[in-house]
Amino acid sequence: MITINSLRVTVERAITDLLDEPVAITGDSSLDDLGLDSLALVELIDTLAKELGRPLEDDLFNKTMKVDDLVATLMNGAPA
Amino acid sequence: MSAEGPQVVITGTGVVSAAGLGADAAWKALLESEPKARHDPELDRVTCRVPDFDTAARLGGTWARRTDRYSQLAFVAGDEALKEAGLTPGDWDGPRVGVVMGTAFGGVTTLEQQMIRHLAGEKVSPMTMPMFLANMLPGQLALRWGALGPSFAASSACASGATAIALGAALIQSGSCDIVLAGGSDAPMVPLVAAAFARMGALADRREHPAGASRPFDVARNGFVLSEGAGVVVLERAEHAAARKTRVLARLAGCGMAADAHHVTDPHPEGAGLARSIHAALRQAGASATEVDHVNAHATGTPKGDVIESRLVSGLVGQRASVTSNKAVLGHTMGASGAIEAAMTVRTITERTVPPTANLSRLDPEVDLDVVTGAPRAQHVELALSHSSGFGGQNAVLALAAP
Repeated sequence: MITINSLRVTVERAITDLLDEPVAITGDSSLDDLGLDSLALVELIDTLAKELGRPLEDDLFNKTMKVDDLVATLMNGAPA
Repeated sequence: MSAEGPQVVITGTGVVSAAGLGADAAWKALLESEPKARHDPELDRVTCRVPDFDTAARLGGTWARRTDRYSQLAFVAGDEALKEAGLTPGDWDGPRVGVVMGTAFGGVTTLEQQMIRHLAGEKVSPMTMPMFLANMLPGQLALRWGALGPSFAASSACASGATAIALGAALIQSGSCDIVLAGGSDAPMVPLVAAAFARMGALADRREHPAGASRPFDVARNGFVLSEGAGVVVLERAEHAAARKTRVLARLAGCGMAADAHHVTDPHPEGAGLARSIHAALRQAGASATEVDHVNAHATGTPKGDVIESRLVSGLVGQRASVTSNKAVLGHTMGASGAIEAAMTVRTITERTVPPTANLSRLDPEVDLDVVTGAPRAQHVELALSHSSGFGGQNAVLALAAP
Protein backbone atom coordinates (compact mmCIF):
# COMPACT_ATOMS: atom_id res chain seq x y z
CA MET A 1 0.00 0.00 0.00
CA ILE A 2 1.32 3.40 -0.92
CA THR A 3 2.00 5.77 1.97
CA ILE A 4 2.04 9.53 1.87
CA ASN A 5 5.76 9.50 2.62
CA SER A 6 6.61 7.13 -0.20
CA LEU A 7 4.39 9.15 -2.52
CA ARG A 8 6.21 12.34 -1.53
CA VAL A 9 9.54 10.69 -2.29
CA THR A 10 8.24 9.63 -5.70
CA VAL A 11 6.96 13.14 -6.47
CA GLU A 12 10.18 14.83 -5.37
CA ARG A 13 12.28 12.46 -7.44
CA ALA A 14 10.09 13.04 -10.49
CA ILE A 15 10.40 16.82 -10.09
CA THR A 16 14.15 16.62 -9.54
CA ASP A 17 14.57 14.56 -12.71
CA LEU A 18 12.95 17.35 -14.70
CA LEU A 19 15.37 20.01 -13.46
CA ASP A 20 18.97 20.63 -14.51
CA GLU A 21 20.01 22.01 -11.15
CA PRO A 22 19.22 20.48 -7.76
CA VAL A 23 16.71 22.54 -5.80
CA ALA A 24 15.37 22.33 -2.28
CA ILE A 25 11.82 21.03 -2.53
CA THR A 26 9.48 21.85 0.34
CA GLY A 27 5.79 21.24 0.75
CA ASP A 28 5.20 24.96 0.29
CA SER A 29 7.06 25.15 -3.03
CA SER A 30 4.80 25.78 -5.99
CA LEU A 31 5.59 23.97 -9.22
CA ASP A 32 6.22 27.38 -10.78
CA ASP A 33 8.67 28.28 -8.03
CA LEU A 34 10.55 25.07 -8.73
CA GLY A 35 11.00 26.07 -12.37
CA LEU A 36 8.56 23.72 -14.07
CA ASP A 37 7.15 25.22 -17.23
CA SER A 38 3.87 24.18 -18.84
CA LEU A 39 5.53 21.42 -20.86
CA ALA A 40 7.33 20.09 -17.81
CA LEU A 41 3.98 19.87 -15.98
CA VAL A 42 2.73 17.46 -18.64
CA GLU A 43 6.01 15.56 -18.48
CA LEU A 44 5.55 15.32 -14.69
CA ILE A 45 2.06 13.93 -15.13
CA ASP A 46 3.37 11.32 -17.60
CA THR A 47 6.17 10.32 -15.22
CA LEU A 48 3.89 10.01 -12.20
CA ALA A 49 1.24 8.11 -14.17
CA LYS A 50 3.92 5.58 -15.06
CA GLU A 51 5.27 5.41 -11.51
CA LEU A 52 1.82 5.00 -9.97
CA GLY A 53 0.59 2.66 -12.65
CA ARG A 54 -2.63 4.53 -13.29
CA PRO A 55 -3.76 7.18 -15.75
CA LEU A 56 -3.71 10.79 -14.66
CA GLU A 57 -5.63 13.62 -16.29
CA ASP A 58 -3.52 16.15 -18.20
CA ASP A 59 -5.03 19.03 -16.21
CA LEU A 60 -4.59 17.43 -12.81
CA PHE A 61 -1.85 19.90 -11.85
CA ASN A 62 -1.28 23.58 -12.40
CA LYS A 63 1.78 25.74 -11.95
CA THR A 64 0.54 27.45 -8.79
CA MET A 65 -0.08 24.14 -7.06
CA LYS A 66 2.14 23.47 -4.06
CA VAL A 67 3.95 20.18 -3.63
CA ASP A 68 1.84 19.32 -0.55
CA ASP A 69 -1.35 19.85 -2.56
CA LEU A 70 -0.01 17.75 -5.41
CA VAL A 71 0.84 14.88 -3.08
CA ALA A 72 -2.56 15.12 -1.42
CA THR A 73 -4.30 15.10 -4.80
CA LEU A 74 -2.46 12.00 -5.83
CA MET A 75 -2.98 10.35 -2.45
CA ASN A 76 -6.73 10.84 -2.66
CA GLY A 77 -6.80 9.02 -5.96
CA ALA A 78 -4.01 6.56 -5.29
CA PRO A 79 -4.76 2.89 -5.75
CA ALA A 80 -5.10 0.88 -2.55
CA MET B 1 31.58 37.97 -51.68
CA SER B 2 31.15 40.45 -54.48
CA ALA B 3 32.13 44.05 -54.10
CA GLU B 4 28.44 44.97 -53.79
CA GLY B 5 28.11 44.12 -50.13
CA PRO B 6 30.08 43.20 -47.05
CA GLN B 7 32.59 40.39 -47.47
CA VAL B 8 31.64 37.20 -45.65
CA VAL B 9 34.32 35.10 -44.01
CA ILE B 10 34.30 31.80 -42.16
CA THR B 11 35.92 31.89 -38.73
CA GLY B 12 34.80 28.59 -37.25
CA THR B 13 33.66 25.14 -38.27
CA GLY B 14 32.12 22.26 -36.38
CA VAL B 15 31.27 18.77 -37.54
CA VAL B 16 29.61 15.74 -36.03
CA SER B 17 29.75 12.68 -38.25
CA ALA B 18 30.03 8.93 -38.29
CA ALA B 19 33.75 9.53 -37.78
CA GLY B 20 32.99 11.00 -34.35
CA LEU B 21 32.55 14.35 -32.66
CA GLY B 22 34.59 17.13 -34.20
CA ALA B 23 35.84 18.34 -37.56
CA ASP B 24 39.22 16.77 -36.83
CA ALA B 25 37.70 13.29 -36.66
CA ALA B 26 35.92 13.72 -40.00
CA TRP B 27 39.01 15.19 -41.66
CA LYS B 28 41.22 12.36 -40.38
CA ALA B 29 38.79 9.71 -41.64
CA LEU B 30 38.73 11.39 -45.06
CA LEU B 31 42.51 11.59 -45.27
CA GLU B 32 42.81 7.95 -44.26
CA SER B 33 40.06 6.86 -46.67
CA GLU B 34 38.32 5.06 -43.86
CA PRO B 35 34.65 4.48 -44.72
CA LYS B 36 32.35 4.47 -41.70
CA ALA B 37 29.54 2.43 -43.23
CA ARG B 38 28.53 -0.65 -41.26
CA HIS B 39 25.76 -3.17 -41.23
CA ASP B 40 23.02 -1.60 -39.11
CA PRO B 41 21.18 -4.33 -37.21
CA GLU B 42 18.38 -1.97 -36.19
CA LEU B 43 17.54 -1.05 -39.77
CA ASP B 44 18.96 -4.19 -41.37
CA ARG B 45 20.78 -2.07 -43.93
CA VAL B 46 24.16 -0.49 -44.48
CA THR B 47 24.31 2.88 -42.73
CA CYS B 48 26.71 5.33 -41.09
CA ARG B 49 25.88 6.31 -37.52
CA VAL B 50 27.41 8.89 -35.23
CA PRO B 51 29.06 7.06 -32.30
CA ASP B 52 27.12 7.25 -29.04
CA PHE B 53 27.98 10.11 -26.71
CA ASP B 54 26.75 11.32 -23.36
CA THR B 55 24.15 13.87 -24.41
CA ALA B 56 23.32 14.93 -20.85
CA ALA B 57 27.00 15.65 -20.09
CA ARG B 58 27.45 17.53 -23.37
CA LEU B 59 24.19 19.45 -23.51
CA GLY B 60 22.72 19.45 -20.00
CA GLY B 61 19.92 17.17 -18.85
CA THR B 62 16.99 19.32 -19.95
CA TRP B 63 18.33 19.92 -23.45
CA ALA B 64 19.20 16.25 -23.79
CA ARG B 65 15.71 15.18 -22.75
CA ARG B 66 13.85 17.82 -24.72
CA THR B 67 15.57 17.68 -28.09
CA ASP B 68 15.58 15.26 -30.97
CA ARG B 69 18.86 13.71 -32.04
CA TYR B 70 19.07 16.02 -35.06
CA SER B 71 19.20 18.96 -32.65
CA GLN B 72 21.68 17.30 -30.35
CA LEU B 73 24.15 16.69 -33.15
CA ALA B 74 23.92 20.32 -34.21
CA PHE B 75 24.41 21.57 -30.65
CA VAL B 76 27.73 19.75 -30.49
CA ALA B 77 28.83 20.92 -33.95
CA GLY B 78 27.76 24.46 -33.17
CA ASP B 79 29.65 24.58 -29.88
CA GLU B 80 32.78 23.44 -31.72
CA ALA B 81 32.36 26.10 -34.41
CA LEU B 82 31.90 28.85 -31.84
CA LYS B 83 34.97 27.68 -29.93
CA GLU B 84 37.13 27.71 -33.04
CA ALA B 85 35.87 31.20 -33.87
CA GLY B 86 36.73 32.36 -30.36
CA LEU B 87 33.17 33.46 -29.73
CA THR B 88 31.46 33.26 -26.38
CA PRO B 89 27.66 33.35 -26.51
CA GLY B 90 26.41 36.25 -24.51
CA ASP B 91 29.52 38.34 -25.08
CA TRP B 92 28.24 39.39 -28.46
CA ASP B 93 25.71 41.92 -29.68
CA GLY B 94 22.80 39.45 -29.68
CA PRO B 95 20.49 41.18 -32.14
CA ARG B 96 23.32 41.15 -34.70
CA VAL B 97 23.72 37.35 -34.47
CA GLY B 98 21.57 35.08 -36.62
CA VAL B 99 21.04 31.32 -36.80
CA VAL B 100 20.10 29.55 -40.01
CA MET B 101 20.01 25.77 -40.02
CA GLY B 102 19.12 23.37 -42.77
CA THR B 103 17.41 20.05 -42.34
CA ALA B 104 15.67 17.64 -44.64
CA PHE B 105 13.86 15.64 -41.97
CA GLY B 106 13.67 17.69 -38.78
CA GLY B 107 12.97 15.53 -35.75
CA VAL B 108 11.80 12.49 -37.66
CA THR B 109 13.02 10.11 -34.93
CA THR B 110 10.72 11.79 -32.45
CA LEU B 111 7.89 11.84 -34.95
CA GLU B 112 8.16 8.12 -35.62
CA GLN B 113 8.42 7.21 -31.93
CA GLN B 114 5.41 9.30 -31.02
CA MET B 115 3.41 8.06 -33.98
CA ILE B 116 3.92 4.51 -32.72
CA ARG B 117 2.67 5.57 -29.27
CA HIS B 118 -0.30 7.37 -30.73
CA LEU B 119 -1.33 4.43 -32.88
CA ALA B 120 -1.04 2.16 -29.82
CA GLY B 121 -3.53 4.38 -27.98
CA GLU B 122 -0.90 5.87 -25.65
CA LYS B 123 -0.46 9.54 -24.82
CA VAL B 124 2.15 11.33 -26.92
CA SER B 125 4.91 13.36 -25.33
CA PRO B 126 4.18 17.05 -24.76
CA MET B 127 7.59 17.63 -26.33
CA THR B 128 6.58 16.09 -29.65
CA MET B 129 6.13 19.39 -31.49
CA PRO B 130 9.17 21.21 -30.08
CA MET B 131 11.31 18.18 -30.84
CA PHE B 132 9.97 17.45 -34.29
CA LEU B 133 9.39 20.73 -36.11
CA ALA B 134 12.09 21.72 -38.59
CA ASN B 135 12.28 25.30 -37.30
CA MET B 136 12.96 24.21 -33.75
CA LEU B 137 16.66 23.57 -34.22
CA PRO B 138 17.57 27.19 -35.07
CA GLY B 139 15.12 28.27 -32.36
CA GLN B 140 16.80 26.04 -29.80
CA LEU B 141 20.27 27.20 -30.83
CA ALA B 142 19.23 30.84 -30.63
CA LEU B 143 17.88 30.20 -27.14
CA ARG B 144 20.96 28.26 -26.07
CA TRP B 145 23.38 30.86 -27.38
CA GLY B 146 21.44 34.08 -26.88
CA ALA B 147 21.43 34.82 -30.60
CA LEU B 148 18.69 37.41 -31.01
CA GLY B 149 18.87 38.13 -34.74
CA PRO B 150 17.02 36.30 -37.52
CA SER B 151 16.56 32.61 -36.81
CA PHE B 152 14.97 30.19 -39.22
CA ALA B 153 15.30 26.83 -40.95
CA ALA B 154 16.07 26.09 -44.57
CA SER B 155 14.82 22.91 -46.16
CA SER B 156 15.87 21.82 -49.64
CA ALA B 157 16.43 18.11 -48.98
CA CYS B 158 20.10 17.24 -49.44
CA ALA B 159 20.96 20.83 -50.34
CA SER B 160 19.59 22.14 -47.02
CA GLY B 161 22.93 22.70 -45.30
CA ALA B 162 24.42 24.61 -48.20
CA THR B 163 21.19 26.54 -48.65
CA ALA B 164 21.29 27.56 -45.01
CA ILE B 165 24.88 28.79 -45.38
CA ALA B 166 23.93 30.77 -48.50
CA LEU B 167 20.98 32.36 -46.73
CA GLY B 168 23.13 33.08 -43.70
CA ALA B 169 25.63 34.86 -45.91
CA ALA B 170 22.80 36.90 -47.40
CA LEU B 171 21.87 38.10 -43.91
CA ILE B 172 25.37 39.47 -43.51
CA GLN B 173 25.43 40.95 -46.99
CA SER B 174 22.12 42.69 -46.42
CA GLY B 175 23.50 44.32 -43.29
CA SER B 176 21.15 42.46 -40.94
CA CYS B 177 23.83 40.54 -39.08
CA ASP B 178 27.51 40.60 -38.16
CA ILE B 179 27.60 36.91 -37.31
CA VAL B 180 25.48 34.01 -38.52
CA LEU B 181 25.74 30.46 -37.25
CA ALA B 182 24.73 28.42 -40.27
CA GLY B 183 24.75 24.80 -41.24
CA GLY B 184 22.69 21.66 -41.40
CA SER B 185 21.73 18.64 -39.37
CA ASP B 186 19.85 15.43 -39.92
CA ALA B 187 19.40 12.18 -38.00
CA PRO B 188 17.02 10.17 -40.15
CA MET B 189 18.06 6.72 -38.88
CA VAL B 190 14.57 5.34 -38.49
CA PRO B 191 12.88 2.39 -40.20
CA LEU B 192 10.39 4.52 -42.12
CA VAL B 193 13.05 6.68 -43.79
CA ALA B 194 15.28 3.70 -44.60
CA ALA B 195 12.36 1.76 -46.03
CA ALA B 196 11.21 4.73 -48.10
CA PHE B 197 14.63 5.31 -49.65
CA ALA B 198 15.04 1.58 -50.26
CA ARG B 199 11.68 1.46 -52.00
CA MET B 200 12.93 4.17 -54.36
CA GLY B 201 16.02 2.12 -55.12
CA ALA B 202 18.24 4.91 -53.82
CA LEU B 203 20.28 3.00 -51.22
CA ALA B 204 23.55 1.20 -51.83
CA ASP B 205 23.07 -2.50 -51.37
CA ARG B 206 26.35 -4.19 -50.45
CA ARG B 207 25.65 -6.04 -47.26
CA GLU B 208 28.56 -8.40 -47.85
CA HIS B 209 31.00 -5.46 -47.75
CA PRO B 210 29.37 -2.50 -45.95
CA ALA B 211 32.53 -0.36 -45.87
CA GLY B 212 32.63 -0.48 -49.66
CA ALA B 213 28.96 0.31 -50.15
CA SER B 214 29.26 4.02 -50.94
CA ARG B 215 31.29 4.40 -54.16
CA PRO B 216 31.04 7.87 -55.69
CA PHE B 217 32.24 7.96 -59.32
CA ASP B 218 33.09 4.25 -59.26
CA VAL B 219 31.76 2.16 -62.11
CA ALA B 220 30.19 -0.27 -59.63
CA ARG B 221 28.30 2.32 -57.55
CA ASN B 222 24.66 1.54 -56.88
CA GLY B 223 23.31 4.13 -54.47
CA PHE B 224 24.05 6.13 -51.36
CA VAL B 225 24.51 5.09 -47.73
CA LEU B 226 22.07 6.61 -45.29
CA SER B 227 23.89 8.60 -42.66
CA GLU B 228 23.48 11.20 -39.93
CA GLY B 229 25.47 14.20 -38.82
CA ALA B 230 25.70 17.94 -38.44
CA GLY B 231 27.89 20.73 -39.73
CA VAL B 232 27.97 24.33 -38.55
CA VAL B 233 30.08 27.22 -39.78
CA VAL B 234 30.51 30.65 -38.25
CA LEU B 235 29.88 33.23 -40.94
CA GLU B 236 31.11 36.67 -40.09
CA ARG B 237 31.26 40.09 -41.67
CA ALA B 238 34.91 40.45 -42.64
CA GLU B 239 35.33 43.77 -40.85
CA HIS B 240 33.78 42.30 -37.73
CA ALA B 241 36.22 39.38 -37.78
CA ALA B 242 39.13 41.74 -38.40
CA ALA B 243 38.11 43.91 -35.48
CA ARG B 244 38.15 40.84 -33.24
CA LYS B 245 41.55 39.89 -34.63
CA THR B 246 40.31 36.36 -35.10
CA ARG B 247 41.70 33.92 -37.63
CA VAL B 248 39.87 33.84 -40.95
CA LEU B 249 39.75 30.27 -42.25
CA ALA B 250 38.28 31.07 -45.65
CA ARG B 251 36.16 33.56 -47.51
CA LEU B 252 32.68 32.62 -48.61
CA ALA B 253 33.22 34.29 -51.93
CA GLY B 254 29.88 33.46 -53.52
CA CYS B 255 26.73 31.40 -53.31
CA GLY B 256 24.32 30.23 -55.95
CA MET B 257 20.96 28.48 -55.74
CA ALA B 258 18.71 27.31 -58.52
CA ALA B 259 15.99 24.77 -59.27
CA ASP B 260 15.95 22.09 -61.94
CA ALA B 261 12.13 22.28 -62.20
CA HIS B 262 12.42 19.01 -64.07
CA HIS B 263 11.27 16.08 -61.91
CA VAL B 264 10.38 15.48 -58.27
CA THR B 265 13.40 13.28 -57.62
CA ASP B 266 15.49 12.88 -60.77
CA PRO B 267 18.13 15.51 -61.47
CA HIS B 268 17.90 17.41 -64.73
CA PRO B 269 19.73 15.31 -67.37
CA GLU B 270 22.19 18.14 -67.97
CA GLY B 271 22.26 19.35 -64.39
CA ALA B 272 20.65 22.61 -65.42
CA GLY B 273 19.87 23.81 -61.89
CA LEU B 274 23.29 22.86 -60.61
CA ALA B 275 24.88 24.64 -63.57
CA ARG B 276 22.97 27.82 -62.85
CA SER B 277 23.95 27.55 -59.20
CA ILE B 278 27.62 27.24 -60.11
CA HIS B 279 27.47 30.22 -62.45
CA ALA B 280 25.64 32.30 -59.86
CA ALA B 281 28.20 31.47 -57.19
CA LEU B 282 31.09 32.29 -59.53
CA ARG B 283 29.43 35.50 -60.64
CA GLN B 284 29.01 36.60 -57.04
CA ALA B 285 32.63 35.67 -56.38
CA GLY B 286 33.71 37.73 -59.37
CA ALA B 287 35.47 34.66 -60.73
CA SER B 288 35.34 32.48 -63.81
CA ALA B 289 35.27 28.70 -64.06
CA THR B 290 38.90 28.72 -65.16
CA GLU B 291 39.86 29.95 -61.70
CA VAL B 292 38.30 26.99 -59.88
CA ASP B 293 41.02 24.80 -58.36
CA HIS B 294 38.93 22.25 -56.57
CA VAL B 295 35.40 20.84 -56.42
CA ASN B 296 33.89 19.06 -53.45
CA ALA B 297 31.24 17.23 -55.43
CA HIS B 298 27.76 16.31 -54.30
CA ALA B 299 28.46 12.80 -55.76
CA THR B 300 26.36 10.52 -53.60
CA GLY B 301 27.16 7.31 -55.47
CA THR B 302 23.93 7.00 -57.40
CA PRO B 303 24.34 5.74 -60.98
CA LYS B 304 22.59 8.70 -62.58
CA GLY B 305 23.49 11.64 -60.35
CA ASP B 306 27.26 11.19 -60.37
CA VAL B 307 27.46 11.11 -64.16
CA ILE B 308 25.26 14.16 -64.60
CA GLU B 309 27.34 16.14 -62.12
CA SER B 310 30.62 14.92 -63.62
CA ARG B 311 29.63 15.87 -67.17
CA LEU B 312 28.69 19.32 -65.97
CA VAL B 313 31.89 19.83 -63.99
CA SER B 314 33.99 18.41 -66.80
CA GLY B 315 32.46 20.91 -69.21
CA LEU B 316 33.26 23.77 -66.88
CA VAL B 317 36.68 22.96 -65.47
CA GLY B 318 37.87 19.96 -67.47
CA GLN B 319 40.84 18.33 -65.75
CA ARG B 320 42.09 21.61 -64.29
CA ALA B 321 40.36 21.24 -60.93
CA SER B 322 40.80 18.41 -58.46
CA VAL B 323 37.54 16.72 -57.47
CA THR B 324 36.60 14.74 -54.39
CA SER B 325 33.53 13.32 -52.71
CA ASN B 326 33.29 12.92 -48.95
CA LYS B 327 30.32 10.55 -49.05
CA ALA B 328 32.25 7.29 -49.46
CA VAL B 329 33.63 7.84 -45.97
CA LEU B 330 30.88 9.73 -44.14
CA GLY B 331 27.82 8.44 -45.99
CA HIS B 332 25.08 10.74 -47.12
CA THR B 333 24.09 12.94 -44.20
CA MET B 334 21.16 14.45 -46.09
CA GLY B 335 20.48 18.03 -45.01
CA ALA B 336 23.78 18.11 -43.13
CA SER B 337 25.91 17.09 -46.09
CA GLY B 338 26.29 20.53 -47.66
CA ALA B 339 27.42 22.02 -44.36
CA ILE B 340 29.78 19.18 -43.46
CA GLU B 341 31.31 19.29 -46.93
CA ALA B 342 31.66 23.07 -46.73
CA ALA B 343 33.57 22.59 -43.48
CA MET B 344 35.77 19.94 -45.11
CA THR B 345 36.37 22.21 -48.10
CA VAL B 346 37.49 24.90 -45.69
CA ARG B 347 39.92 22.32 -44.30
CA THR B 348 41.18 21.63 -47.80
CA ILE B 349 41.95 25.33 -48.12
CA THR B 350 43.58 25.74 -44.71
CA GLU B 351 45.51 22.45 -44.84
CA ARG B 352 46.36 22.72 -48.54
CA THR B 353 45.31 19.12 -48.92
CA VAL B 354 42.60 17.39 -50.92
CA PRO B 355 41.27 14.22 -49.31
CA PRO B 356 40.84 11.27 -51.65
CA THR B 357 37.53 9.78 -52.73
CA ALA B 358 37.42 6.42 -50.96
CA ASN B 359 36.16 3.22 -52.57
CA LEU B 360 37.04 4.44 -56.03
CA SER B 361 38.52 1.28 -57.52
CA ARG B 362 37.59 1.86 -61.13
CA LEU B 363 36.56 5.30 -62.34
CA ASP B 364 33.38 5.25 -64.38
CA PRO B 365 34.56 5.81 -67.98
CA GLU B 366 31.84 8.44 -68.30
CA VAL B 367 33.48 10.49 -65.54
CA ASP B 368 36.09 12.68 -67.21
CA LEU B 369 37.42 14.43 -64.14
CA ASP B 370 40.57 14.63 -62.05
CA VAL B 371 39.08 12.72 -59.13
CA VAL B 372 41.58 12.41 -56.29
CA THR B 373 41.92 8.79 -55.24
CA GLY B 374 44.21 6.63 -53.14
CA ALA B 375 46.09 9.16 -51.05
CA PRO B 376 45.56 12.78 -50.06
CA ARG B 377 46.94 15.27 -52.55
CA ALA B 378 48.87 18.35 -51.55
CA GLN B 379 47.34 21.31 -53.32
CA HIS B 380 47.12 25.00 -52.66
CA VAL B 381 43.50 25.83 -53.35
CA GLU B 382 42.58 29.45 -54.01
CA LEU B 383 39.00 28.87 -55.11
CA ALA B 384 36.86 25.81 -54.45
CA LEU B 385 33.26 24.93 -55.13
CA SER B 386 31.12 22.80 -52.83
CA HIS B 387 28.08 21.33 -54.59
CA SER B 388 24.77 20.21 -53.12
CA SER B 389 21.66 18.92 -54.85
CA GLY B 390 18.43 17.64 -53.39
CA PHE B 391 15.24 15.84 -54.24
CA GLY B 392 12.87 18.42 -55.54
CA GLY B 393 15.52 19.61 -58.00
CA GLN B 394 16.98 22.08 -55.53
CA ASN B 395 20.66 22.96 -55.84
CA ALA B 396 23.06 25.10 -53.86
CA VAL B 397 26.71 25.86 -54.56
CA LEU B 398 29.19 27.57 -52.28
CA ALA B 399 32.33 29.22 -53.64
CA LEU B 400 34.99 29.12 -50.94
CA ALA B 401 38.24 31.00 -51.32
CA ALA B 402 41.52 31.25 -49.49
CA PRO B 403 41.55 34.30 -47.19
